[in-house]
Amino acid sequence: MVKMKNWIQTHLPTRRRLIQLYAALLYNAQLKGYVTGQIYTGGSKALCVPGLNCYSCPGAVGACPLGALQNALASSGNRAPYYVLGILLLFGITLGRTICGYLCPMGLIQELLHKLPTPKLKKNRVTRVLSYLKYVILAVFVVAIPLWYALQKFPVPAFCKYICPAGTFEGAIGLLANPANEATFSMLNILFTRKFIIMVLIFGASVFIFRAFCRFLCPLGAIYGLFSKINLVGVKVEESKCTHCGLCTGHCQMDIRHVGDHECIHCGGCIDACPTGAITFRAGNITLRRREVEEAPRKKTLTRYRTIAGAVALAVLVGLLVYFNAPETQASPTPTETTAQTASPTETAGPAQTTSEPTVLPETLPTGSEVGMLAPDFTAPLYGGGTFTLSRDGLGKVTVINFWATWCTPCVAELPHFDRLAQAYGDQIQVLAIHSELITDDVDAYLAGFDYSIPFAQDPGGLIESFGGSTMLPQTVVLDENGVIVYNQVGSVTYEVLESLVAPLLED
Amino acid sequence: MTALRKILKILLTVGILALCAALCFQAADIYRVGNAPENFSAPGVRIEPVYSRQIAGDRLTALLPLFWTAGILAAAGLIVEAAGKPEKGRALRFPEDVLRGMKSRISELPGEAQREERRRKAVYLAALAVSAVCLILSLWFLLDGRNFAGTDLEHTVGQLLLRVGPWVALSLAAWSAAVVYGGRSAEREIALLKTLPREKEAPPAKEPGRGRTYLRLALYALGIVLVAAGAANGGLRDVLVKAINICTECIGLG
Repeated sequence: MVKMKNWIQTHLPTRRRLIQLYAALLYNAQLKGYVTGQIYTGGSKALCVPGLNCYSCPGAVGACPLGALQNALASSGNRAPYYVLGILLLFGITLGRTICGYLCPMGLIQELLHKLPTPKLKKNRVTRVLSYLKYVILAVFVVAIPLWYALQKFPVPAFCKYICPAGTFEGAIGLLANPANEATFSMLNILFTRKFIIMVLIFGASVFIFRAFCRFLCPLGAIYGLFSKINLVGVKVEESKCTHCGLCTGHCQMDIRHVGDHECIHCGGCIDACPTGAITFRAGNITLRRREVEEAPRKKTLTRYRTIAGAVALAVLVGLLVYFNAPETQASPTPTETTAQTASPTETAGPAQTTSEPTVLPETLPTGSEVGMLAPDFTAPLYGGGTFTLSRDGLGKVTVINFWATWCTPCVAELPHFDRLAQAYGDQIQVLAIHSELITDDVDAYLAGFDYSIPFAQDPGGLIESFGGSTMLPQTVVLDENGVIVYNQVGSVTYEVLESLVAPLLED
Repeated sequence: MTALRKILKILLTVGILALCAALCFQAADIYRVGNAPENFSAPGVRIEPVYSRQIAGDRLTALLPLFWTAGILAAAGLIVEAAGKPEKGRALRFPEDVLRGMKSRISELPGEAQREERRRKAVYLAALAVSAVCLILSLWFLLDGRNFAGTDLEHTVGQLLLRVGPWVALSLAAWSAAVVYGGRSAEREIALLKTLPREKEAPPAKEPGRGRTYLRLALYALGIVLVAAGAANGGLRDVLVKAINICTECIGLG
């Protein structure tokens, strides 16, 4: 019986593991997103979570600080990235790399993979040197590339795009795994293949190397590591008790040189390894944890505090889970219903919304967003003045509609293709680029920097939804001369693809 | 039990490596097939998309035996690990770290140890010089805006890897060589210092000053001001908009 009790005690998850699981669940509290395949679009996403957690994950209820930083730097031509820098500063001073040890879902995934019983590659001098690679990645992929392209008004979150395994695993695979996003597969190509291989290699390496991604590649860990000398919460060494025996660094699986340095994730593994009890886990002057043998006299008090803290944490989690997973009060509108709303001039609120022209589209086909359906009529205000009404300006011509935004990398990359298409086919086709209704204050300035000939409109509100879109950009819709949808896809298009869509319609 | 553990470890290692290799191969092969000339009706226009749920499903189904094998091996390995005595990891003490502790108790190093230390420092300085040269050569590329002109990111990142990657690798290699030498040198120095009598106890610990607290407070104030300024200038809304919309390229979709 005693043996069994001991076995259970030694195999129970540690408090740190429970906190890691708690944080992962808290960051991804919208569990219904995994069922619907839709990401959360509520206001809590304006807040960055401390750990690396992709905000395109169907469950995510907060923003990824690293993604937000790259996008803020990529948009720094419009406004200084104060908010994200301030958030990172506050996280850094308060917790530093304690976040890596306790609050990062990527860290949790890697530690669980490392639990698999295989031979392990231990830290050595070369891994110590390799641990500086993440600073190179921070400088090049998170800072240099987004800033250079910000100067060209071309937002490029390079780390997200080329490396981030959290984005591939939680965002891309999280969305693709849901049958509701089946159409998304059609946009996958080299980018996904490369990122998928990188993700497999990182996860594979994590089985054999402790926290391979955190130690060598993670730029967020590099940022938090900069606060190692001043972070408030974490392991601290009492110099008067330290004998410099080196057992703490010897037991640590990270590439630390001493406890609490920029590589230390403050996991507290060294606390019990220290023979003199010099290491404690502290928040400022308050000692949160010390060696087990020294904890014994105040075990009862600690247990009481921990029970209260656990109960509060559990209540918060349950509350948030209920809040984020509560059923919608309104059923989501069907495409036809949405269409009707958008087509109605009285119900579309926009900055320069005007009354739409009476519809002259054929009414023999159902109106909707799918191929073969009649496109919903709409009126949208144009940048530079005037309005565009589909039934007035598009009917009788092949119409190409592109939904885009200044802050969307593939959108701005493909705009020249639409412009070239309009120039190549002249009056035979109508091309319209519709900017997202979100963040519209920089569109005029953006367009002033280019010499595009196509008309640019602004989504007056809900227009992209009427074409079956939701949270993914870019989206391209091609209509034949009768206003019937012949192509409606989310994802980037090339000029060749556009031409292959338009040319047959003109031949007919 | 130990033999069984070892066998399971080896089998699981093989299983995981095979699974990773197979997943990478399947992804690369889907890409190859999707971009083969036969799949293009015109330049740049594919007949079938590169990926589809059907294609991905078929490829993953082909890997099911491998998934099952690796899964069963992992489960067996975990059960055997849990049933047996937990393996205690041996503390891995680097000579450099041990040496630092030893030196804290020695007031004056013997001549030979000083020479060893000087040699080690010279090697580290050489590595630093190599890194500095590599940094300059990397900055040569990174600070030239022409290298980041245009929207062909594939080309830019390719050039970045070709033109900066080797310098980063060289710098890391130089430091790796230096620290390997440093480790051996530290071992030699430890052997020398071990022959010396223990002179003194560790120096008295310094009382932590208030400087760090003031710095923290200043940074907290700065952080709060930055967040408030960010909320005022639209930065908060920017984060929200990016977070509630999916930029398809940013998560690797395309």
